[in-house]
Amino acid sequence: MPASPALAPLAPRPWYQNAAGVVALHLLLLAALTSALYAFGLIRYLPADDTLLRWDVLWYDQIRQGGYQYSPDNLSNAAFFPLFPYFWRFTGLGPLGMGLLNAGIFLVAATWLAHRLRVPLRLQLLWLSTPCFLFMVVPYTEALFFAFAALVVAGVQRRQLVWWLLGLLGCGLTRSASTMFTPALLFMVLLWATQPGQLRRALLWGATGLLTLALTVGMVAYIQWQQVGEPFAFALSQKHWGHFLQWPRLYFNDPSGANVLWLDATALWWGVAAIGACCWLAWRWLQQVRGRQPLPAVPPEVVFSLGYCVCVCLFILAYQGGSMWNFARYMLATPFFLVVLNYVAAQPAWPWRRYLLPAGGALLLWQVFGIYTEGFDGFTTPQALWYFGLVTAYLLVYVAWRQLRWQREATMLLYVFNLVVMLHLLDGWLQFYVVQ
Amino acid sequence: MFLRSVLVFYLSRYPARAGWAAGLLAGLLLAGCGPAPSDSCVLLQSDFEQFEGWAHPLPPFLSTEQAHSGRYSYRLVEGTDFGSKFQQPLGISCAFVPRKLRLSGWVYLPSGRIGSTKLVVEINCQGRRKNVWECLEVQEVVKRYGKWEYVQKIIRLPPDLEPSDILQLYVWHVEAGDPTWFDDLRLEGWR
Repeated sequence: MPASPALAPLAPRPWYQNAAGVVALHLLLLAALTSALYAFGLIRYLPADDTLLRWDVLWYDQIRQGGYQYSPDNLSNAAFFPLFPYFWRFTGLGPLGMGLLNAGIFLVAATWLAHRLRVPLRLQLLWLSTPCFLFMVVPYTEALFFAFAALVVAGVQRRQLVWWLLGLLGCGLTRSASTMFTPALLFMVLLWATQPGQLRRALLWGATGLLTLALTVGMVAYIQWQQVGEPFAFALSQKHWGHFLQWPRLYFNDPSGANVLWLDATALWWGVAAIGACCWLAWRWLQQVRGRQPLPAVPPEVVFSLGYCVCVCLFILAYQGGSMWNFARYMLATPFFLVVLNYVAAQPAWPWRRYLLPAGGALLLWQVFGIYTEGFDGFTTPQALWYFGLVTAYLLVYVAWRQLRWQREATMLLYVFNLVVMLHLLDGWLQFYVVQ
Repeated sequence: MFLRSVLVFYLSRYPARAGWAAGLLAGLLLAGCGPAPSDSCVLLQSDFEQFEGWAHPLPPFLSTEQAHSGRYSYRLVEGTDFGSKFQQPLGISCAFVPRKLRLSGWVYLPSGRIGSTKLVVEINCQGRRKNVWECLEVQEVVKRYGKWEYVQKIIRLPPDLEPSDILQLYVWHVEAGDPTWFDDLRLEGWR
């Protein structure tokens, strides 16, 4: 496995031209936009102790205050992993305090990761505006998962085994990450081990990683066994949230509706693209094993991130019956999306006609939402075509970002658009509207 | 298109008979203007005004709190999961068994806290085959609150339905939440 380009020493830059400077600029712009929209009445609510007790926060709060409960016949808090609610209990903070602490954790982790990955500053700014990051300022697991996943990514990139294991441990205790991470880890190790002289190291990382993930499952099972008498309550209670193996039903939908579905659609596109990339890598791996062609030099953190995107995509498709519920936040609000996005942005420019492939693929893919066959409820066919045409254009800006002629203008346009959407969704979420 | 091709072929072979051809074409066009069997039908059209004066007290699903047209609209009664159900055999309003339905109407949501609310179209096939069950997820398609919003859904039906199969339309409030109002509901069918 080739060394990651980011392993080279980082050249010193003035503070305002580095990742921390971009985060500071982002905070300033976000504060300016939020205060203006709030003053004008375009958003009605800001995070507060009473407005933050919404949706899953209620379940985390229940675990924080009274520990686990499990019901084999109904929804219960056993479906949630323990690290975040117990961390929340440990801090002694209220919902607003925990939301702010989450935001702080996320910003520090995001700054550190962007610095490590040497993300171009404009791209970092654009990425920071991802609408799904609204979940970083509420008492959800997103921020903690992000921080530990950043450790996973940086650990692989810097070949720091301790970071890698600590990251996996944290992720596995924060969410059911072992389901997503195990196939991604195996795929990464498979590709890594075939590189000359890397077999022992790859096996060491793979074995210790798998043991760590198994340890997280064991720890969660032990905690739940102690509290509710059922070691696999977290797995058994999933069916009450509609998570069970089932065929995806057409047409795909999202209970949150049209204002979130486009984000899920972009996550689906990235997921399908990751599946394609992993299939291609697997094919090239086979070619290498047969001694025909060497494996292309893809850094291991990119392989792991692609594997994670594939697993999230397959999980959503196989376990949610056609509902795209939560897809965007599971994929786009993680460091793995930044790794993939940054890798795409570092590729040589394509001839423009090559973009017909991702654009055409997207336009075909949108049929899973029934846009050509009057299956996209509430929209006529021309309206659905316009909606998904805009989604396609939005996606293409990200994919072709590195070679856009008006890159600065496009970045700022999408940046402001993303922030407005983020604030709009947060405003809805704080009012108990369906935003997931 | 076929007639045009025939006519072009005829004129190319017999250019002197253009007058005849024009007469033939006019005759065919006029014949096409005659009454043709309709391809669509209206299975339900209700603005909920027609109940006034017929029942005392008025049915509980009628509401005067909000209305898109007239005085009345349909509202789900608090504490109930299902609204009053409209039902009739498919063959009552339609001379044919439709293959496609268009459900449309106006919805008023006071906020986004309505929970999961479905406008359900069900066709009860009385055990002959599996019932057809389709729904419009109201909270997914309506994103503007405190005003009437137009919604619609296209439903494709299987070919083996019969005129005696029972069409049902009702509101299913899956989760507790704010009330919802419906008005000017219309269900059209196509061959």
